Amino acid sequence: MTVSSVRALVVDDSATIRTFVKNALEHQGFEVTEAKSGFEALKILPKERFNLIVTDVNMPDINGLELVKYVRKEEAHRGTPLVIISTDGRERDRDRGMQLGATAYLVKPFKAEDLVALVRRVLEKGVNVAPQMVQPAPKRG
Amino acid sequence: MAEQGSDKLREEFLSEAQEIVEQFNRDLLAMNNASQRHDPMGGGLPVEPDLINSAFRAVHSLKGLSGLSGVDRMMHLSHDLENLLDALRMGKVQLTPSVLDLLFESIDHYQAICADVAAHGLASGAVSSRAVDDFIRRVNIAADPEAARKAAMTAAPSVSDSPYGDFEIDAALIAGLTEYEEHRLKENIRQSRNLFRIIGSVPFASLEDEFVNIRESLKPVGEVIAVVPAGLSSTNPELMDVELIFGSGQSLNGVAAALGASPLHVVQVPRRSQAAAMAPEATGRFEVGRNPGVPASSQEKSLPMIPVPAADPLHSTLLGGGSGGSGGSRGSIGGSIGGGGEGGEGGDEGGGRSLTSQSQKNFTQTVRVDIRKLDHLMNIVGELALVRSGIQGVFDDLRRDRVHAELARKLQDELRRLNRKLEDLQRGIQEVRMVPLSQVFDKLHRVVRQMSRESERKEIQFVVTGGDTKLDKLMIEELSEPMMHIIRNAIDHGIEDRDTRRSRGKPDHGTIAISAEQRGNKVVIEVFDDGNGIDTKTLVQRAVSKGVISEEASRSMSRDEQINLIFLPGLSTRAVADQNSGRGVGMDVVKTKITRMDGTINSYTELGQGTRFTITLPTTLAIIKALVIRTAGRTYAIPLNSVTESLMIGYDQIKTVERREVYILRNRTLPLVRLDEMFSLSRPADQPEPTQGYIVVVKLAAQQLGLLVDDLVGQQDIVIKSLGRALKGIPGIAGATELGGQQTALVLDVRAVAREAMPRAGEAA
Repeated sequence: MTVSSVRALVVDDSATIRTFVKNALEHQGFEVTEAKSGFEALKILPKERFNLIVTDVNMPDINGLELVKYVRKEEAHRGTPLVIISTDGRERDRDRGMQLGATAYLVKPFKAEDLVALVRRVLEKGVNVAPQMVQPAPKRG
Repeated sequence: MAEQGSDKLREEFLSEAQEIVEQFNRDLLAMNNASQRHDPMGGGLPVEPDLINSAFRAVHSLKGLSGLSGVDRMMHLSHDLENLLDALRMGKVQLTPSVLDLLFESIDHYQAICADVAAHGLASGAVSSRAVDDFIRRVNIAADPEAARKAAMTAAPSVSDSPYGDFEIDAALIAGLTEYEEHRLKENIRQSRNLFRIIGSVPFASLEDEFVNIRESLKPVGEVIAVVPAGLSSTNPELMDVELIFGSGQSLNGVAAALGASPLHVVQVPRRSQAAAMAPEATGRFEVGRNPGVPASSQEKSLPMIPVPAADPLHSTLLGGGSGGSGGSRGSIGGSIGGGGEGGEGGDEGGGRSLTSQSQKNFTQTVRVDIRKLDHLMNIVGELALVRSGIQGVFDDLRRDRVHAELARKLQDELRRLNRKLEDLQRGIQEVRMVPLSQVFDKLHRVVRQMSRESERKEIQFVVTGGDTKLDKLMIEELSEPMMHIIRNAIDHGIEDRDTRRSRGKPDHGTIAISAEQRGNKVVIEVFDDGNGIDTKTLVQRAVSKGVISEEASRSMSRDEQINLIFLPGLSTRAVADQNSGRGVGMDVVKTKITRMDGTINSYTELGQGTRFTITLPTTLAIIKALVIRTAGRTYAIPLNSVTESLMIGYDQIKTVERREVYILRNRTLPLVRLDEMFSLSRPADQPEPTQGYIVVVKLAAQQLGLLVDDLVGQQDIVIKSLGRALKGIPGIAGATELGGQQTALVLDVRAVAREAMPRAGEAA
């Protein structure tokens, strides 16, 4: 298994957060695909498969919760670990996301270390995660 | 780090909220007092427009603050209270004792929410509570007696419990809504709008373009509350099934007409009471069901948002739409989706920075200091200055004594040094109180970001320069609210939507630019937006129609005068209120606040091109040195820059020249003013007239005047706050100040005192 086989989809309408998450994940050996809206994610999802999906909750048009619903419904993505990024103070959004089947959540603002630690935990302990993904990204060498 | 950051936000929120709630409480108390004097036979209580306005503004500010801080429970509470106060203000609802009770009760709710946030964090304020929801319902009933009657007639017990009124809404659908979307849904219901589901299939390849078109055609008739994707169309993998939840005051036909040639279909969500009547019409618009296992009839029933026993209600309720073909794609791909994101980016960058190095730096190299501690230090400096004066007195005695001439000279040197150090200390403390304007600008960033996210047709570029310009902390705090108003106005009423901008040959994204710079001892802040500009014609018309100015006066107004009409109360150019900005609250508040800080605000506008506000503020002028005195049991502060000296005298030393009291000071006649007489202060009957007191000598141009007072309290640095309208007219008073220990004092306007006294002094001379 090569490093590039660990793929993540990052959905956020804010370029800053998207880039921030992307950089943090790439640093961990992920190959990251970005989507700047729920629509874009919906275009990508039927065509590709991911080991991890990270999505913002509050986005215009299609929100992150709808994305969680959608992902959990699609056979191809049902088992993919999914992390939602929610806004501080919007606890209900976060709880809903978890009820709808998100694997974990992060509350903005967060540090890169928080994200990385969470992703590690999710990939290690996540239910329904295919065996090759249980392992953290292999170290270079 | 995140925790520390949210702690800070919480503190900011609490201190601001509590201050406003206190103001609101004071307004209510004043309303109550006014009503006590009222003859109970007269029906409704008397309405003091100023008080209601002030209460309205307080609640409006709370709405903005809580909305921004995500304390949704308070935001919803404030939103509905605002409606009630607006109805009172407009005379649509009478102020009755029970309405007043209701308003007082709201204070308890505000305090409960604050206590909750203080104990459990901002997030705890986001969740709704039964108590507040029930209260809101009562507020709405009070605000709209008509609707209340209807509600009482139609509401079945089970229905009144539901936040969705009597709409039958599928729980699975609600689950996918964000809090904000859900709030909008409830809001639409609360405003008695109809709910629709707009469903169909849209070509995958042009999703974004398609939605720009759909939103555009729907905008005039209502609000897209949420967009729900349902997956690939089972009949055509090139299509995606989507559903929009749409609120509108229009009928089914109205919404269908607005959709026009779009491939989407509209279904009205029935109300429980009308479900039977509505269903045929709603379902009649669909020919085909596409969920194979379910018979057509049961599918039809599942069309409205009625809970469906099927495992996947969304799939079972969605229908394959018409062809994938769509009207030409007008908007660019960047359209509404990219727009919201791009507009918010500026704000995010600020947030991004704070995620990493900057906040680390802040926490290691700075400390947070309670401003009261600084005030305390400042007071000590003031007291030290008094001690220094005492030593100066000793020195004066010593100097007269030839034996100690040498000692006196040394003492003088030391005194000089002490003086310099005292000044350094004072400047140092003042310096500590100075904080960069970026504290305000960062907040604005958040507002711009949030608002541009919520508005789907506006892209906003937010440019800030000069954020490191410093102002006194107190002014920064005062400045945040008026700046917020200006920015909200700029986004709401200034920046046009994308299409309007295009038609005017402007770039798609609007620009809001804030700059600050120090010029001498002033700070100049400019807020510019390249939007609509202010329509002075409409403004003048409104001013005339509201009776603010007469028709004749309006004709002779200069352009500047016309523009400045926006600073008058109640002249917002928009009739409808929304979550973000108000109905006539705003620019008058902005002006009041800026003036209170001894600042000025001017606006310049070109219709169709933009608006610029220029705010000029003194850097530290809010703090002045004052001599605090007492007379007839009252405390006053006299600005020290007009005091030349003060001396203790026995009242037998006062002479009368031509019926005018004077004191002979170093062979010159000093006219005296008894402060207690000037302000008609009465002494307690049991207190004897004082036989001695102090003369505070104040200078004005070439003349001097002695103010006769009972006692000197000391020298202190004070912050002048302007008085309420009620006390504004009193001559001789410049404002009020807090002295610490809950003590307040009026600040003398020496110039005005002299104006009152000098003509008579002139006669005497």
